[in-house]
Amino acid sequence: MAIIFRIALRNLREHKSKTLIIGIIIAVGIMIMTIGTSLIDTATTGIEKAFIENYTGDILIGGISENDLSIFGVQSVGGIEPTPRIPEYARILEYLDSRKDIEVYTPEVTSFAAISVEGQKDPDSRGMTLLFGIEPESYREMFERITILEGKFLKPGETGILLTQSNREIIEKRLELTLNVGDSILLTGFSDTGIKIREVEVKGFYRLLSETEGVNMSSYIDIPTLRALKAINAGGSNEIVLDASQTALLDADNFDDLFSDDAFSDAFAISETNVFDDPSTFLDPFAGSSTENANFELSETEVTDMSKIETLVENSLAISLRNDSGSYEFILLSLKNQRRTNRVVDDLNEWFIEEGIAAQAMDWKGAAGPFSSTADVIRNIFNVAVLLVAFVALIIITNTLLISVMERKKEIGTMRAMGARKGFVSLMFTTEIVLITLVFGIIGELLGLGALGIISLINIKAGNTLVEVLFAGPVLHPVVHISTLAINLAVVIVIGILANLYPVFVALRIQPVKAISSI
Amino acid sequence: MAIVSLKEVKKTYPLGKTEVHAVNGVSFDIARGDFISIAGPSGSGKSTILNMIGCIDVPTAGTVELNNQITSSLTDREITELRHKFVGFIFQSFNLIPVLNVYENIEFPLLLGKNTPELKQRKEWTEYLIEEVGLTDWAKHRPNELSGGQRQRVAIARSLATKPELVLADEPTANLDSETSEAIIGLMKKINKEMNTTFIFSTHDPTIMELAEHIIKLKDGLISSEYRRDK
Repeated sequence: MAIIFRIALRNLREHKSKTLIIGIIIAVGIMIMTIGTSLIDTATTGIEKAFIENYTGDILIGGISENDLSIFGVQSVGGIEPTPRIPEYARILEYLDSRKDIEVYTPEVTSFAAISVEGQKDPDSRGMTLLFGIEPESYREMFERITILEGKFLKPGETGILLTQSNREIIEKRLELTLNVGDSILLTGFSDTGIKIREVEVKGFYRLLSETEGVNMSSYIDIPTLRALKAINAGGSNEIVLDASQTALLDADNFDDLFSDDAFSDAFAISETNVFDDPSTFLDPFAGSSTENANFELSETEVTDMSKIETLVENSLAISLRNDSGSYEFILLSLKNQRRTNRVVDDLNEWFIEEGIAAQAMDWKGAAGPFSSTADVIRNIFNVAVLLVAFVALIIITNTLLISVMERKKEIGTMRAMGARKGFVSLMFTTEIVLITLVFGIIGELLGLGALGIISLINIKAGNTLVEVLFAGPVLHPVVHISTLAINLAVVIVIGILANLYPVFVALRIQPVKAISSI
Repeated sequence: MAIVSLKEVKKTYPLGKTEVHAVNGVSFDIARGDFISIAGPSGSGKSTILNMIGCIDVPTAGTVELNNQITSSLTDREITELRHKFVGFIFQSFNLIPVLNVYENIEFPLLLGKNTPELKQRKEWTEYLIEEVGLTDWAKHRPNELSGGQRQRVAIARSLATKPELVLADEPTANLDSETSEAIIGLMKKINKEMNTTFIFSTHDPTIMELAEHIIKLKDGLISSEYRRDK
């Protein structure tokens, strides 16, 4: 083997021009690959970071659907396939609590809705939003990068909506009005059971770091309102104690009595004005469910105290959200160690199968759905371009190696005459091409790294949010993965070996006698 | 006992629509330890016969027996192994590997076989051969730094590396001056005596031919005469 290596190395030195031709092709090729893959890796990292830190967490748990499920719902063609709810929610939470590798988790419901505002100039105009129905406390704990620009984030049990600043601007332009904190907007939701409209108060405006174009039309909304928009019925098992006046409501002889003003005022002692001023009081306490007993029994004094009523409703809702069953579409998980994501996803999916729970876990790529494929699309286009260049390079390298083989017929023939087996000759040429690709591949990668270093020093700034995501930050600092460098090098070596196949085939067909007589 | 035996060997090469009969039915035996010259003018079939004996070409008809093995019945792998163990080659144009120095060129055949000798054994044997051909001071030089005579000495040493029983030399003096040619044949003869290695060399030079003990003369692919000279 040492002699093969020695001959190969010296032959490369001896035939400098051919070595340089092949070497330069390889070095330039791998330099382009290094720069290209680095920029793609940067974009992938940016998209991954944007989604994990803004929308999906490390892992998403959802129900089982026929088509691909993502945080945006089920990707079905030609219709709306309802997003499946997570079954056996309490058991899943119990299991998640038992795992030590999970930092925090939060439930979520998502939907799309049209936005309109009473009194808008053009009554047919609508804004659009992607609604994330969230549990504020755990959601905020998971997604710390939310910057509230105006207003406040939702409190546990509070109803309301927070819009992104960019969507606020779009809506204001489209509806020709100004949106402010405290304004009411009308959300029109579409579900398999029809259209639902809910009025909801704007609680604030926010911005995410590295927002993804398209997803920046998202809004945070309380889960009960979103459920109402989606016509989701939440099952429950709360034991609720009714006082005499509430019981009297159930004893109403007819619907007129049930919905009469007297009945409402008697039961809840809430004025009509209060109900419309604060939609939270309008929430149906029966929508929530709990394995614990939520205390809805109000004393006469408490009934007259609105703030206490609100607190009670909020608390009861907070409890119910944590213990709901069958009324969430997703659970988002944040892990203590992101590197364990694939392992945890596998564990969860195995557990779901073992326990017969119709749920699935996926990483951010699955959760991000079509958005995650952005980088893949760019990568595929790049790979096709690389493939074409590689094909041309392959032909040039093959041709150059073939010339080299023909020029060395005498040497090959002599070796074969002296007893060198075909394997020896084949290995000698393979060693040569591997050496060239390895040496010039490393040179090309170093050149590529140098170019990336220069790009990083130039501080190219992102012009918009999409570019910001692709840059993985406001300024382009390309990332370089050692594994990518190794893969690029391996790819070039494989190309070299492929290019060497035909010349080696020709070399092995050279008969010693022909080689000697050709001198 | 014959180490090489040719029986009615013929070799025909296609040349366009016609055929060239390089060897037209040649038979002879060569005994172990012989020092033979196959002589004849250009195109008489000398090199073709040597190539067939050396298993780097196959006869169109007839049989070539080498060490009691009919070469045409052997597989490519077996022929390669036979060449490696049994035959040494000396070429007219030396055919040294240009990227290897004198020492490495001579050592090279030892590295090709299945059972490569230990480094120490290899080194001792290679240095002995270098000394035998008088190139001790040139051991680290590349072929392009040597004269024709020196290159052919390297080729002789290399042909003996695997201690073959038979060395084939195709016009080993064709590219050398007369003085060097005689020296080279003298060296081959010396090794023939010392190691009892059988040498077959081809030449068209009558002076060189007469240095052999057993002479086979060819003309138009046939043996025109065969005789032995007194040792």
